[in-house]
Amino acid sequence: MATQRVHIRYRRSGGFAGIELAAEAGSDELPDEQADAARSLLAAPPGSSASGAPGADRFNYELHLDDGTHQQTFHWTDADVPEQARSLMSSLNRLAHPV
Amino acid sequence: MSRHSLACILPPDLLVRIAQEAPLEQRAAITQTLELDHSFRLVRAELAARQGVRPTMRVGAPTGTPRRFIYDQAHSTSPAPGTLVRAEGQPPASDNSINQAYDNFGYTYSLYWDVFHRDSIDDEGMAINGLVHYGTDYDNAFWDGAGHMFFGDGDGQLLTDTTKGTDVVGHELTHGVTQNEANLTYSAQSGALNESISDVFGSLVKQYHLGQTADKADWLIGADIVGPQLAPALRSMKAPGTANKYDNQPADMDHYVQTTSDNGGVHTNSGIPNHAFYVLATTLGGNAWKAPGQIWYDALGDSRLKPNATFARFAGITLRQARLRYGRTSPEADAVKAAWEAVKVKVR
Repeated sequence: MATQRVHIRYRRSGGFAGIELAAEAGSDELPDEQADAARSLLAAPPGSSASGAPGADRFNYELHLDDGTHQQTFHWTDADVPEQARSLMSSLNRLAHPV
Repeated sequence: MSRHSLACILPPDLLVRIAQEAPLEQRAAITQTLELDHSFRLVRAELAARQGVRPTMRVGAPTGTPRRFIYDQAHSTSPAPGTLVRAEGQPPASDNSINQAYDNFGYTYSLYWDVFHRDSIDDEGMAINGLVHYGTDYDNAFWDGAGHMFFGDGDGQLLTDTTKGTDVVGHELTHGVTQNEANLTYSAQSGALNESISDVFGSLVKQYHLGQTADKADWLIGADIVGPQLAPALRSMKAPGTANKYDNQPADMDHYVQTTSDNGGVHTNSGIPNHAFYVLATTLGGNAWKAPGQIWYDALGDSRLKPNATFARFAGITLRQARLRYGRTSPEADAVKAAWEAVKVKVR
C-alpha cells in the first residue's frame, strides 16, 4: 500500500521577540520517522489547546496537516506540544523563516 | 491604627478575597482598609524618596537584597529547574549565561527596590529563579507564571544568548510583577498592555543601570541579544515598526493590528502604549524612571486596573495617578494626557 503524502503547514508566533515564522513541506521531503509522525497525528489527532498555559512570552504553534482526504489543525504552546509531535516540530522550525 | 496594622499583616489580594465573600456591612470596612493600604504605600514611597531612607513598615520583612537562584537546564526542555549553579551571594561561575542572568536580575531588583520600594516580584521578597540554557538553539525567554524565568541560548541567527539583555531580563521579571498586581489577561489589548509594561520597565532597568537620561537612551528592546537576521533590535519604543525588517508594530491606535496570531498580537500592539511612554518620558525629560516610571508603576498597582483593561482604561488610570501624585494641573498630568493623545488613545 502506497503511503499518503501529507502536506504540512507550520507557523510559530509569540515568544518575547514577537517574530512570526512559517514553513511548508510535504511529508516526502521529511525523514521517514517524521513523515510517519505527521500521518499518525492525522489518523489519531491528540488534543489541541494552546490557551491553558500560564505565564507570558511562550511560543504559540499552529500545525496544519492535509493528506487530500483529511485535514487537521493543531494549536499548541511550548507547554503542550505532545511528545509524538516534538521531533516533527523541531524539523519544521529549522525549515521555517520569518514572515 | 488597627486598620493600618491589619493592612501590614494581610496581603492586599487576600483582603480583596475576604471582601468579596464578606457580608455587605463588613465589605465597606475592608474596602477602606485596602484604600488605606494603598495610600499608605504611596505615602511610604514618597517619604522614602524624599528622605532617602528605606521604609520601615512593609508587608512582610523587607531586606533590600534579592534572593537569586540560577539553574542550568543543560539544553533540556523540562519545565522543572535543573542543577542549581549559583545562589545569592555566591561568586561568579565560569559560564557567562549564569553570571549575566544573575547580574541582570540584580539590576532589575535594584530598579524596583531603589526607585519604587518594591521587594522583588511579589513585594514580599519572592525568590528570583532563572533557568538558563533552556532547550537547544532556543530563540526565546519566557515567564512560566509560577516564579521561573527560562532563557534560551538563541540560534545565533534570529537571537543570541538571551541572558545578555538587561532589558530582556527586566522584561521577563516584570511579567511576574504584573501578574502580582493587575494580572492583565494575556490576550488582545490587555495582553498588549501586559507586554508593553514589560518593555517599559525592562527599558527602565537598562536606563537606570546605565544612568541614562531619556534623551540619551536608545529606547530599543533586545539590541544586545539580536542575531544578524533581526539586527539592530526587536522593538523600538521611539519609532515602533522600524526596529528590524520584520517589525510591524503600530505607533498609534489608528494602526492597531487585528490578528489571531500571538494571542491577538500582544507583541505587535504593545507598540502603541510603548510609544506613549516614550513621548511622556521625552516630554518631561531627565530620568525616565522618575516621574514617568512612577506614574506607570502607580497605575499598575491601582485597584481600578482590571485584568481585562483596554489601552484607554489604562490611559485614564495613568492620568488619575499623575493628578493624584503631582496635582491636577501639573506638567506631569498634562504630559500624560498629551502622550496618550499622541498615540490616538482616548484619555479621560
